[in-house]
Order: sequence, then structure tokens, then C-alpha cells
Amino acid sequence: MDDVVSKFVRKSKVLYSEALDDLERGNFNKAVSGFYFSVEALANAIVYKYRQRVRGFMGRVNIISKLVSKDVGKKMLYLYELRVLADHKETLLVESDAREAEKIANYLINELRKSLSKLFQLSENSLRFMNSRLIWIQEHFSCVLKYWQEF
Amino acid sequence: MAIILNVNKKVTEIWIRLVLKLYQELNERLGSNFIGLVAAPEPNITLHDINVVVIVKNVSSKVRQEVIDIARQVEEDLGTSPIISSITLERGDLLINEFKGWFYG
Repeated sequence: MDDVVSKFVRKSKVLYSEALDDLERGNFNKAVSGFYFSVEALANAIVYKYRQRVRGFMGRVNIISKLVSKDVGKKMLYLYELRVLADHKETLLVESDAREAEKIANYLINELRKSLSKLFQLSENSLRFMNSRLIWIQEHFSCVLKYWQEF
Repeated sequence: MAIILNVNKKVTEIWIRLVLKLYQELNERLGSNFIGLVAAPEPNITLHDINVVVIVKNVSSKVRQEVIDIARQVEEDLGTSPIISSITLERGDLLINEFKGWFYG
């Protein structure tokens, strides 16, 4: 995978996991903001891969609407609206807002990942192969860990 | 000394048509819940990347998503790419004045 693209993908994962952590700790405003930026990082990966120049926020939404789907563009706008409320409004967001942002982020991340996979022409077989390798690594690693603990 | 003011007449015309159509559609579809809107003089004049503030009596996630749907429909009807970046706020929200101030000084 392209180095810059993989950096964006990694950033998206980290931001998402930080947002989940904030949600569990009751940091609802930070969580909403984090969910949005996690989606934005993944969108940036796609935009970068297509070698598109982005002019501002709407430029990004525009490109994603064309490259992925109109629905994804709409949901991004809605999540962004929640992010503006979290970061700029005088009132505080509550847990239900953060849970809603999580739900939308999950949908968007899933759709953007699918699009990114298509982009890299990863077939179902190669994905399955990668998953089986991952399982093998996990199993192998747990054996090594067990051995190490016993040792 | 000269002042060069680059006004893109075509962009402004499209923007005015979009805003008027958006107003009309919101009025029809949100009915009595719709109060009004505050639009930037040009699409590129934004605050927090927002160029249209939609003011309603009662806001909910359903209303917010409906406004986004209406905006996309208006853009499609007028054959433009996504330009309207809106936020839906309740009447009396402090952010409304912040947007008004930014858009119109």
C-alpha cells in the first residue's frame, strides 16, 4: 500500500480507537470530534490515492460523493455537523449524541474501507488469505507468549 | 493604486439560485418547523466550513438529516456539485449570531 495512504489509514484507526476510549470514559464531545476525524483521515486516504486535489471541506465531500457514493457524502456532512456542535457550541453533547456519531462513523468507515479495498484491487481471496495469515500469526504468537510465560 | 476585485458572476448567480431554491424547499418540506436561513454571501465564505445556517423551531437528528437531504436534492435539481454546507440550529441559538457576524460583519 502507498506509504501516505497507509499512514492515513493508520491514523484513522488510531483516532477511531481514541474516540471509542473517550466514549467509554464519558468524554462525549471529544468522542464525537474523534469519530469525525477518524472518518476524515480515511477519506483523505482515498482522495490521496486518486491523486485528487481538495479545496476545503466541501471539496473533500464532493470527491467522496463522486468516488464512493452520494449517501456516504451525506452521512459525512451529518457527522461533520455533530462535530461542529461538539467543538463550537456552548452546550455539551450527551451520550446519545456520541453513540449516534459512533454509529455513523462505523457505517462510513466500513464504506470507505470497501472503496479503498476496491481501489487496491484486493480480491476476496487475497483478503481471506490475509485474514488466515493473521489468524495464524495470532495463534503462533499466543503459543510463543504462553511458552515465554511458562519459561 | 488599483483595487482588483475578482467577482465570479457565474458562481454568485448559481449560489443565489441555490439559496432561494433551498429556502423554498425547506419551507415546503419542514412546514411550520422552518423559521428561516442565514446564507453566506458567497459559497466560499464559511465559518467552521459552514456556509448556510438553517433555523428551525425544534431540532432533532431527523430534522438535521432531512435538511442535508433537501440541500443535496436542491443541488441535484440545479445541476451543481455539493456546495451547500449547512448546520441546523434552533431559534435563539448563540451560534446563529456568530455565523451572521462572520458572514455579514
